[in-house]
Amino acid sequence: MSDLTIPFLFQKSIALSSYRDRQFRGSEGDQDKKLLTSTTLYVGNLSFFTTEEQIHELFSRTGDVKRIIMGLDKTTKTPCGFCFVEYYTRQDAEQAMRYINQTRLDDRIIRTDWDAGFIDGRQYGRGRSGGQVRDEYRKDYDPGRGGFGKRFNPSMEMEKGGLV
Amino acid sequence: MATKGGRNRNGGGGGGGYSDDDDDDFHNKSQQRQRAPSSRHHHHHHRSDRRHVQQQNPPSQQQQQQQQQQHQHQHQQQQQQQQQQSYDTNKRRKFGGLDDDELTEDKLQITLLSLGQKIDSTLEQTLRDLCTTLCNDLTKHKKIIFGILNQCIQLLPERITIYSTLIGLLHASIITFGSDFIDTCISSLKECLLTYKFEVIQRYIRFLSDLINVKLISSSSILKLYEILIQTTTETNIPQVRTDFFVSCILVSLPYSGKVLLEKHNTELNRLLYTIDKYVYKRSKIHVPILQVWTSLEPHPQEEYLDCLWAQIKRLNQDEWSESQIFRPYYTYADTLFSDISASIVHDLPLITIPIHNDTIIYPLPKIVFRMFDYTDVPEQFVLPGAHAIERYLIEEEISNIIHTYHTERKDCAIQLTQIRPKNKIPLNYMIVEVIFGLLFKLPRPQHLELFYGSLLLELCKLQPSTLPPVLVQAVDMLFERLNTMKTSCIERFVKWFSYHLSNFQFTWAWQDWINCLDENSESPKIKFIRETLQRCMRLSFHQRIIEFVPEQFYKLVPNKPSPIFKFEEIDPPIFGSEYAQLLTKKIKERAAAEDILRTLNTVPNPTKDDTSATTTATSSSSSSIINQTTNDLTYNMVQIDLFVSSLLWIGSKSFTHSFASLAKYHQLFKILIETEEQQIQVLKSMYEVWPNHQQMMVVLVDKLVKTQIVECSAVANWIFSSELGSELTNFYVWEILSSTIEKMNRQVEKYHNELLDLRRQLNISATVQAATHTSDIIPSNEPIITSHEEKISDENKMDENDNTPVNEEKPTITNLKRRRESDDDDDDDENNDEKQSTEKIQSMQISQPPMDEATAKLHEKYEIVEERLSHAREQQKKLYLIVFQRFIMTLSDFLNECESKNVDPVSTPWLKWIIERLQEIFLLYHEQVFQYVSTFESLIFTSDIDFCILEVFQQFCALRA
Repeated sequence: MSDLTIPFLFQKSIALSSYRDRQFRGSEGDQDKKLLTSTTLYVGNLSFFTTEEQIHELFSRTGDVKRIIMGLDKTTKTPCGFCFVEYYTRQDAEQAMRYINQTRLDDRIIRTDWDAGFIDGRQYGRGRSGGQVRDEYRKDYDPGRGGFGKRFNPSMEMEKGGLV
Repeated sequence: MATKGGRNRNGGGGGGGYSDDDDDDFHNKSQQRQRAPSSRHHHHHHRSDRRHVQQQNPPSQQQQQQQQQQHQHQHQQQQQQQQQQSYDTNKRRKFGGLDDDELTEDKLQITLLSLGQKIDSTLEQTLRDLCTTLCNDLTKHKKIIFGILNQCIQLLPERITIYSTLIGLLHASIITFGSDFIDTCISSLKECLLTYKFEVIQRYIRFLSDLINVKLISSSSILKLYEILIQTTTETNIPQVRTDFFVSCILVSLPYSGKVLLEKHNTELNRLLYTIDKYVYKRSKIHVPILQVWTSLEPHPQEEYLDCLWAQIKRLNQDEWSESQIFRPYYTYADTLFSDISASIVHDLPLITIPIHNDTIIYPLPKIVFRMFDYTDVPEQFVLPGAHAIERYLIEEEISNIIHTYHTERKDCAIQLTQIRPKNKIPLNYMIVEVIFGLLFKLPRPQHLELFYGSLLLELCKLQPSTLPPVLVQAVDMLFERLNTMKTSCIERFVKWFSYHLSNFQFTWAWQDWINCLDENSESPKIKFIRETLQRCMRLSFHQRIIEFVPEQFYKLVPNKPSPIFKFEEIDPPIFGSEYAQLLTKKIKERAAAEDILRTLNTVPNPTKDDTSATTTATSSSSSSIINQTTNDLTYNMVQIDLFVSSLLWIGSKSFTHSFASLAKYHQLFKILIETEEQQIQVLKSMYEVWPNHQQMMVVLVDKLVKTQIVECSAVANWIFSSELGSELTNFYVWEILSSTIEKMNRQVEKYHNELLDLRRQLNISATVQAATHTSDIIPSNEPIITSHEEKISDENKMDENDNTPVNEEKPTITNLKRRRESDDDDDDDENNDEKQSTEKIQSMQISQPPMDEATAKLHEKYEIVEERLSHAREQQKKLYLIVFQRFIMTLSDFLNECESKNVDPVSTPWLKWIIERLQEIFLLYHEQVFQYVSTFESLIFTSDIDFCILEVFQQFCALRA
């Protein structure tokens, strides 16, 4: 079958999402170009306790993993719930997008997305408290990701702010 | 998975805890490590673009969607167009929008490829409307339309009758359409025949057969086509797989054409069937056992695929070719298709010839039919068609076609599968599960990634949370009960799938149901299965999690905690080298330079020179003092390696990344310390001593060691069969290491092979360019390509060409580098020779020919270098397989001898099963590579003096291409 061109109809899972890294250096066109040829995935919604080993076990099932970069809290240097997985080939990364995205690891449904390629510094959370931005204002209690959002006080109703 | 014990989890809501998969990160309330069983995900439905696309046809929302159905098609198109826009941004940017033709092509492609994706009452009208549209577009876009229609035939075999209906309608509307369309199809088929696209050839023949039902092709000419195909049974000196393929083309087509042929050409049909019968009867079946999933034929025979299909066709013939499973929409257009007026233009197929055989053609491998259920396994309200009922084949074929078509989109794939409408109370879920396991266990290899089948089963569980999981549970139990005779490769795939599946269902399983097998021999397949499953579960979670989910009785099968062992840390009694290990670990922690570490290693007293410490090291009491001296030097060096590797891995034991960083930092030191294969094996032994409880760590470490060329593939193979690892040989991770090592070797060969093809292509291009720009000084535009090749080549033999770990950066820091291997020298010399040779060649060419430009000369040079590399890599590959097979034979023969001396029947031991089936696995997994060297293996190692149970594996393997 590999000799047949698979039409776009069957390529939804590897299409680019609407997310773009706003700190990307270069035009949006450059970013898209990189994303379309990238072999690196961003992996989100991990538990803070999920290890590199576990990620490797799951992601190596779609191909040879070149490296895994664990996302760390800027201040505490501990895992903060995301990572980058880099493969040797585009094809293996595509397979991970197809078959791992939205399945479970450590009892959580993880999310994978294309990443334009790891640059030093990106391993750190971008939230003001050091973790990921999404963990700043989160209102639910998520024990796998450090309980409540860092800036959410459950005893006080927090209105504005919303999700960044 | 809802298990027998824990089905309550999905009890109430349709989606259970699983319907939240499209929630994005922001709203996913997640669970704790020590999760309370009742904790659920919150459902904040965040409407994202992705979710919107997914909503095309979720079955759970069918009712709400009924009103929308008329709009759905249009709606779908819009969405798909959007989808394409986001996918194809480059195209759009580059050209600044599409012109009319491109728009039409896109629109038509979407419409035609999604035709009949959902079969409902609107299909009849859709087909009529589509026919009208296409009739209007045909004059202007004939080429495009024909192209897409051919694409549909090639890509969507599960919907061919819908396409043949559409073609029939077009044929009835436009007088010239039929012959034009046949011409396109036939030229495409001929092309496939010449390029050996077997799968597509079969699809075309089946499609053409169906065209007799819409009166486009004459039944007599289809019969003629079959007669040409059956001619291959009379050919001599050709492999059976060739004839098998062409006979199978007829057999898969007959359910579509049989009825018409019976009515119009009864005699010829019978003659054809008689010839097939004779052929099927006389076929050789040596290849069958190596392809079977179970070694036992109970309870299901696992028939050879052609045998089974022939039995089904014979039955269909007895039933006068009436079946109820094929969806035949053309019958609803009787007024258009079968009226007297249109019936007058039936076309004959032009003559098709089958290219004669040559030895380079690789035909499709034979298959067996995987069956795990029969009618007694399904609930009473269902009737599972018997093994030789054509319905069984037709539904299985439809299921596997859909899986194949949609394999890149697991969610769509699951939806399409649940939309199959089987007739006559057929238990669809049982058949889906059976086909999926059949594909997963397929030998030699599954067609798609194993993980795909697992993720597809997850999607099916989500779509049908109350009906599918029970079938899956039943299947797992049946597979578990049949483990004793299941092939080792299949057990391994079963373990990998099951652990993955459990990890997606919080490891909920009725473990207590398996308690009564716990008394079995620790090497027995069931025990091994549980042990390996728990091992894999641990790799996906963590040790404590396993302890929590298995009953206490299973604790003895739970893997050890995956912690490192530092033997030098043991104080009582202190072992030789402990004090140096202390020093080394301290230095490594301080990130000392490699020279510093080397100095420390050199302070370790040499036992041969210092007799006081000699007692603790292994010594050989050889009579020759010279040999003794070398042996001792070697032993001394081994102690150094052991100290270094153990300390390094111990310090880096925190994570994979830490370990890799340690290896990278001291890469050059490795190169200094390690030269011979024995020394490489010592590295592996030391690693094993640190990490015996962490299989995954060993897998990734060996991978890194091979990629960074600290150890060679052959050293890994020899280590695996060494006595130190003897007790581990039945454990699955050992074979994971061997496979991954062999694959790296294969990839290396493939890489050079591709580079060579690429260069060959460039040389052709540059020759053309040169001719064109003969008088000009401008160097053709392929210069950047050359530079990139220079870089590639300077990479030399690196196993891991893209690995940018700081390995290379440290290279200059140590100057007194020893050469690591002889082959490295060879390589360098070769390179120099190559350079000289190619320069000479070029000079000589310059005399007789017009001057070749610089770029082309460089290309020629590169070409020869890569050619040399390839042949070197091929040699190494061959050597690796030789080592592996030789070690297999040695290990197996030793075991058989031992059994004989102890008067034990080897077949009764699980050990023989685990090892001999691994040998089988190596043959099967790498059959493409092994076949290249098969005559060498036959003459050197698989000779008649080895035990028959080993030789038999080789013979069955050879029969795969016979």
